[in-house]
Amino acid sequence: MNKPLMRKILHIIDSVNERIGSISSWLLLALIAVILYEVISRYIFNRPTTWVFNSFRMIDGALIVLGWAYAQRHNSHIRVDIIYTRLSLRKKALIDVIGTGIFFIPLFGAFIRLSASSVWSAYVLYMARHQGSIPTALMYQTIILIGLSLFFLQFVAQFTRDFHILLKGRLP
Amino acid sequence: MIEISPEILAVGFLLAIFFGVLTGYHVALVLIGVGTVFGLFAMGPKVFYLLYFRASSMILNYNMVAIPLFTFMGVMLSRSDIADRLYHALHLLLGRLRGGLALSTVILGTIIAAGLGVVQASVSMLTVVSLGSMVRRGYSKELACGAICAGGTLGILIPPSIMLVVLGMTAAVSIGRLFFGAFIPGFVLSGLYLGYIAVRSWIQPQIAPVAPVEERQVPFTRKMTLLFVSIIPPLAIMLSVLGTIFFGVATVYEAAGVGAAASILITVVYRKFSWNLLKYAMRETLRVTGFVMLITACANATVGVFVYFGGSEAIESLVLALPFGSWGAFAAIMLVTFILGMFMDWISIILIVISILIPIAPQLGFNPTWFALMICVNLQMSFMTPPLAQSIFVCQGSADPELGVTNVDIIKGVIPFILLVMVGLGLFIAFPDLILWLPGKMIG
Repeated sequence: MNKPLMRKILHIIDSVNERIGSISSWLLLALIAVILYEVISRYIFNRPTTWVFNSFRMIDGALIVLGWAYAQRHNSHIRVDIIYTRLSLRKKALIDVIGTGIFFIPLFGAFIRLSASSVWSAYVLYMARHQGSIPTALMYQTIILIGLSLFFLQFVAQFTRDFHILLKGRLP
Repeated sequence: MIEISPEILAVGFLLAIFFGVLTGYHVALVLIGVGTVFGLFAMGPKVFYLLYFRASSMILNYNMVAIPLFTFMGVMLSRSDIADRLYHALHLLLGRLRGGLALSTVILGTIIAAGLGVVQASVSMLTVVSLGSMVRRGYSKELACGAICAGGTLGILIPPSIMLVVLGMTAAVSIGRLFFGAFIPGFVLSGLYLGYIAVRSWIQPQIAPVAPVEERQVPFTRKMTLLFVSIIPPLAIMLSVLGTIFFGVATVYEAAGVGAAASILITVVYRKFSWNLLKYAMRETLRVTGFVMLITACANATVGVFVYFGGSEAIESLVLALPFGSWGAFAAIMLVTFILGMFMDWISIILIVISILIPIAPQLGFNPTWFALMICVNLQMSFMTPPLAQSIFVCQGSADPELGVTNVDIIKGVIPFILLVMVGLGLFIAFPDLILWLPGKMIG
């Protein structure tokens, strides 16, 4: 692949995840609002709701999976760095290329497949019933699939960068 | 499939994790990677279903809702100027005392850092707010840095703390009970720190000078106003969050939601609210939630594999075979945790050590809540112990270079506080009720 194109694609992945992260961080306000609503209707009006429980789990689930991608965008997933920080750029890249190539890509690839098939089966089930609102299972599964895909994408971008560092000794 | 005894598998599993994380690759992925390899070996390709199911069940666990909410509350309170304001007020109130600023630092750590779950966040917040004013007023750098490291590390123990939320999930102990189990130990440690600073600066006045007279000449009414305006509101948020849980009025996540809303309100009332602060706090929350939950989900998945091939029973029999009875086993576990704590984050330790060892606690005759909290108190010490001490690194990293704080200053400064944590550990071993009494009084 020619260089400017690769740099452009990597840049697009970064900015997509940055943008999605900024937008999805607002879910936190939604989460607070939903919980406040529940607290007020239960403790003040003595009218507990049933929809709130599922909806805030869904919002929280979305925050979590979208947070994975956002944290990866900012390279903040936890590492034990006593040795790692002392390594050269190339050696760091080597460790990351091996880890991502052997463990992350196959494993999370498998997870995305599993997640996609559960979305599909939830969707088929929903279509077969021909009625009612969208079931929560379908929504959960879809959120997880979206989050996993963004996370995967960001990891692949990092993998490409590390690979480039490994070969050329510098960032693409 | 070849038959290998679960003991060998279990030890191999833990060693693989240990050496895997030492490479510096993402801890979460090392955990789940080791789980995959051992799982493929033990059960074949259906391991992917197990891992996926256990990881995604963590994402949808309703208790986890408390993590973004408490994180947000902590970021809002510490990154608005509320922390500075509180520090200033404490300084005016305690300025008459020798070591008043160091005392204020520990108090600030106790109150505000409570919501910040990560050692890095609370220590760096305290460094930014308090180190400059202590050093400029002639405090010894050792005392200043010691107070910052100790106060900031304490922040992750004192509830509401996301460490305790993760701990509760991992150890299958009620999160509310853990909050109140940690309450008295947190304040005992805080009290020990305050007592030490007061005594030390009384004996050696030159290391912690009294505030200059002109700074102290504040009328009594002004002091009382400051107390009510600056200190009571953040304290009230923390206490009301805890109080509603204690009296069984609200669940942990409901209390967290109300606390998060109150933290926005308080910045508005103090006129410190800005959209940039809110956006910053929300993005920071997303980032912290992301990395905390990736490792939590991956660890939960991998523990499933460990349990499947009989790893828990194997470790149990190995630990029970240690000499000197249950206290021998306890000492060994504490030592291992202490060493791991020097270079690993609390998240990794809790998710690996506690999830594997907590089922053994009842067999050893220990209460699981007490056992889990002893490990947390122990971690306080290991985060401050050189050569690999997270608090020390963070304090040095976030200190203003102009202040000229060196590694040696910080290390000398934290040593007395490490000894105080040991005193605390001794107290909690001798009087387990310091941990267990308050949770027993909870309603609901």
